[in-house]
Amino acid sequence: MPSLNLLPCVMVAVPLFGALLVLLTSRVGGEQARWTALTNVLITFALAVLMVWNYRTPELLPENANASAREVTADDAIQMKSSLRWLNWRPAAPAVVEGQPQNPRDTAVELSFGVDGISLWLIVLSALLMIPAVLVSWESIKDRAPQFYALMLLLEAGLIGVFAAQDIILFYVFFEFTLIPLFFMVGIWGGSDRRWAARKFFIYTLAGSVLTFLGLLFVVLSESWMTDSSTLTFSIPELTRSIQRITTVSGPAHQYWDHASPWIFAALFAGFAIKVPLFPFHTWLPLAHVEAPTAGSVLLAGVLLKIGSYGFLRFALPLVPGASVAHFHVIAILAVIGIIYGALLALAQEDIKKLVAYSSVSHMGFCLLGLFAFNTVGLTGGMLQMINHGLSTGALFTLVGMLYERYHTRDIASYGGLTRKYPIMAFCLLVVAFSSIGLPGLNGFTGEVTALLGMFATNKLYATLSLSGIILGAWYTLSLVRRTFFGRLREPVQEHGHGHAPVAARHGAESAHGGHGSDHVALKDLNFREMVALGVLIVPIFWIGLYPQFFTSRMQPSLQPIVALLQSHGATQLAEGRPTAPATEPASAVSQLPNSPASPPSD
Amino acid sequence: MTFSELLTKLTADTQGSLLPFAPELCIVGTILLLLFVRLLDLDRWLPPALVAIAGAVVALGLSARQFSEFSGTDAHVQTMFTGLLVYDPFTVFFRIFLLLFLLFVIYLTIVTGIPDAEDSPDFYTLLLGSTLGMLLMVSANNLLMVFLAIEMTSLPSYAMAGFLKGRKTSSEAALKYVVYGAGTAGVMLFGISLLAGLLGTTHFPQMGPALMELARQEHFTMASPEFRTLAIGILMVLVGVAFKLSLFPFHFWCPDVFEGAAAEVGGFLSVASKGAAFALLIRFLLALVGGSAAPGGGPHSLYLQIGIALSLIAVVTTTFGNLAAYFQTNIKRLLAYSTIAHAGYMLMAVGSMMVVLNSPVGEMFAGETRSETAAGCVQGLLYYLVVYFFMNLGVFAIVAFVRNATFGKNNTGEELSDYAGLVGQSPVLAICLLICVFSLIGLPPFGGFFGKFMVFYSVLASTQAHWVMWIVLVAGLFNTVFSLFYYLRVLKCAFIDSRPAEARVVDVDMGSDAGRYALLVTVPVVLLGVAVEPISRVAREVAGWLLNT
Repeated sequence: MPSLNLLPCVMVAVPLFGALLVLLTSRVGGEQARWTALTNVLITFALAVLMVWNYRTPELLPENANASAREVTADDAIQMKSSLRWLNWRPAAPAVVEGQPQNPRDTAVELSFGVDGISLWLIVLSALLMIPAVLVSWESIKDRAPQFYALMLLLEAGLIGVFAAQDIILFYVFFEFTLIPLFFMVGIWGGSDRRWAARKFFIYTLAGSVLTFLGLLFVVLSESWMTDSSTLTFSIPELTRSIQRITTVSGPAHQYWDHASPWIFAALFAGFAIKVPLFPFHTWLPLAHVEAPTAGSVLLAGVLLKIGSYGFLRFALPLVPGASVAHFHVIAILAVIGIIYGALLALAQEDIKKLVAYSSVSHMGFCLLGLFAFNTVGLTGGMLQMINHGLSTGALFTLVGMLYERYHTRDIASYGGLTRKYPIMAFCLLVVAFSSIGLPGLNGFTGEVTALLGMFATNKLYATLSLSGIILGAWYTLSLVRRTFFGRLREPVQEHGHGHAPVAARHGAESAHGGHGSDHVALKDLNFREMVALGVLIVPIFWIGLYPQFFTSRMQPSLQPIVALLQSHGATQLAEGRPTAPATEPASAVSQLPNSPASPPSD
Repeated sequence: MTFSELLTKLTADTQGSLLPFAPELCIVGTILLLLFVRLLDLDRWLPPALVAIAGAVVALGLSARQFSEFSGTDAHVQTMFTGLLVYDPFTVFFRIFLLLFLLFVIYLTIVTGIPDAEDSPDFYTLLLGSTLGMLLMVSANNLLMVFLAIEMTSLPSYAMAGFLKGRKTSSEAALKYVVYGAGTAGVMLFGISLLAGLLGTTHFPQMGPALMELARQEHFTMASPEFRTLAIGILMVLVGVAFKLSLFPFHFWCPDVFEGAAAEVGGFLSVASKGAAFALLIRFLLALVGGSAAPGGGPHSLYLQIGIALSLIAVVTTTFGNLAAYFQTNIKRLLAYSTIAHAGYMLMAVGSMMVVLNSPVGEMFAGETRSETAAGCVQGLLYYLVVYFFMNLGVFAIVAFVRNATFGKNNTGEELSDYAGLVGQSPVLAICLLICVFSLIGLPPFGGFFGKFMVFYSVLASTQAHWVMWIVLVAGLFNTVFSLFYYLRVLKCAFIDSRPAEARVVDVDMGSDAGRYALLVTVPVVLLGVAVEPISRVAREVAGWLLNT
């Protein structure tokens, strides 16, 4: 269906347009703004569904497919592609070198969008999570509501753009652009420490991403240098393919890339590891999550963290497979530390939001562990885990937001036995908690199990260690559920400023941002709006849990070439338990080549 | 040559020069008209601002026409007035840049009401006079012309810096500016005399060959007096330019002058005088190299060192500007340091141009020749300047509007605290401030991102020539992060803090002149990020013509 080629582009444009509309009609008031935002979000989601429906799943290749067959599918991998020249930066000048007319120099950055199996689900996730994000802000955002919804729609456009971008510069543009709306969402509508949280978040992320930008730019330049071409390629799929081809065909290029890869990997790592966040770089996350308004937390945890893991999957693994394999232990150890340390920290929290925030650190560790298993199972698991974490953490933050809206405290100790009063909420919380723990039949199980299965095949030690993360996860999640929703009914004191817990008092002081007083949410169970907000998340939780094939079958063809590439760069040696030293020189790829650097050079 | 021959030749040359010189003549005419208006007390009937605008518009139209004439012809370089000035697309590009900026500044002064009716003929005379000097700077083709043009630019600027009469800080600013300017001008003049004595010429096109000739002599080594004189001479000339650009060791005047002078003047100085100084710097450096690139050896190793030194100065300048800005509470002082930092970013492009042109490596990335890569560097600088034009003017305009609204008895209206909660008071100013500041940081999708992108790209390309450029590149990137700290503080004030109850109201809405002006300046910042191609293509063509590629 060629007419749908513009779909990804339209999906970026619709929220942008919506943001403008919301701002322009801001005089009418918050009521108008939130309906406009909701309509817009629903339209975008409908487009996302259309995108899934329109997505043709490429056929999986047999394991021993030859290279040409792989290239044919690679050409086909990006669907619904549209591009528009944006910046023709080295204009065409027909050059003649040694009497031979060369191709005109035409190096263009393009506004190019498209989806493959990797980005498809993340786009859908972004579009889906916007629905609860708008719905939970419905009552809780009173102050400057139109601006809030406009920022949220801008954020949506940025997120969809990040995943749909097929041009490196465009990717980076959206990558940075997502910071701007979130900075203000956290900074203006956040909790008591919102100012510092917003700045810390911004500075941390930008510090990493400038290095990532350097890495990406260097990849572009190196590609043109290695292929001896007179143009620069910014298109992500073309770049990936071209680098893969040249490093297997040409000896000098291979050698050069071997030298450059660790640096490029380090540069990419800087930005993406902060976004994920991997263990020592996670300190911005709890602060930002806790201080953000509910919608901000939902989107931050649900989608923004995925940009980091998506970056690893889209750039680090296919572009510098050798360095990725060589750094397997670094990433895996950091991920395992993140899993266990995050879980332990979550266990110690008395603030619900902080608990969920630290659990994110832990869960994203699984995701990276899956990606760095370097096999199809692991990568699929990692991908699935990205989606799952988005759904379950998004739902958790939504629930926390609803609870906070009723009592204005996030102190676990001040709650108890809420099931009696809120049976529907309790049910939802249980489902979400079980999904987060990984109960079979729900999405968390399929994701974590596949990720860990992949890791088991590669390295048993890390997989075993990270299992303890699951147990700890069950512990802190269930104790959260038990302490708040079971046992003797205990409700926080409802008047503001009289919260008996210190946390309550602190947040009670922030009355301007909650919409309190007369428009206090009645202490009733979930209303229809809230049920819809949770329902749209719970349906896919069951769907992925019960029929993951629907999702994985669409991912795998896109993951397969990456796995094949990684395997040829020594990932198999890792799995066989050999020392990793040979992994830095991808022998299996090299030995097949006639003029590879592995054979001693004659001069 | 007999006397009459000489006379005929001169007459012919002058007559041939007048047409390319028309925009400057137009500005001169406007200045004279303004003085007459002042003299004959006509300024009540004929507002000086209108006279100035009319003059600038005509000059701009002439320049635009000249620019359009270049495309399609092959002969791009023409000298004026016996080779004192050069007329090429680079000149005309900067003429348009400066004249358009002049128009924007005049319009800004009309909106903000500084200067008042009494002083306005004087003010516009000075403004136009300074612009005239800048127009000469960008077309200078002779060391003497360089000195004259810089002085012609500086003298009216000194007076403008002190134009807020009766304000102590303003007079202080002007005095500091004069002392510094006079000092560096003296040093520069000395450098010029050294170079002239050594080379026997002050004419740019002859300098390159003369230097090659000098370098070919056998005793020309690092230790020879000629070499030292040459190095010192170049350095001294660069000091004069560095002063105009407020580069690191010569930046001390900048915060004081910006704090003391009116925001309108600050905006003018920060953009126009920087743009002109960069044009001059590029011309001077290219004159040294001798137009087209030559293989390494001879004075080229010296030039390579100069390029590296410039890049390192750029790093120090940027880092210093960004770090010093962090402690400022006065918005104009903060912007002054931000200006210093941006001069550093732009200097990186110039430094890498010099490194690339004189690199021992023959072929650059993507199979480009040295000149082509160098043209890429100049292109980056030009694009950066165009974006900087709008984003910096935008910020200074907003500073002026907020000052006008909050100015009080014991409040200059220029402290950061005056911006608290601006978004609630005047959303249009706050949004424009937001866009300009994000663009200054270099965040996509605003124009500043692409300016920085091109500059950093040229630094990256120059890493092939010398490894030091890697340090420059990484330092440049990290400076983007350093700069966040203070830029975000401004935005935090405007958007997140709440306005104190006793603070005066900033009632600038979209319908007012000020609001419209802010939008007018901000929209291009966004456009330059969305539609990059048109301007970047023009910049590329101009750079290509300059470097003969």
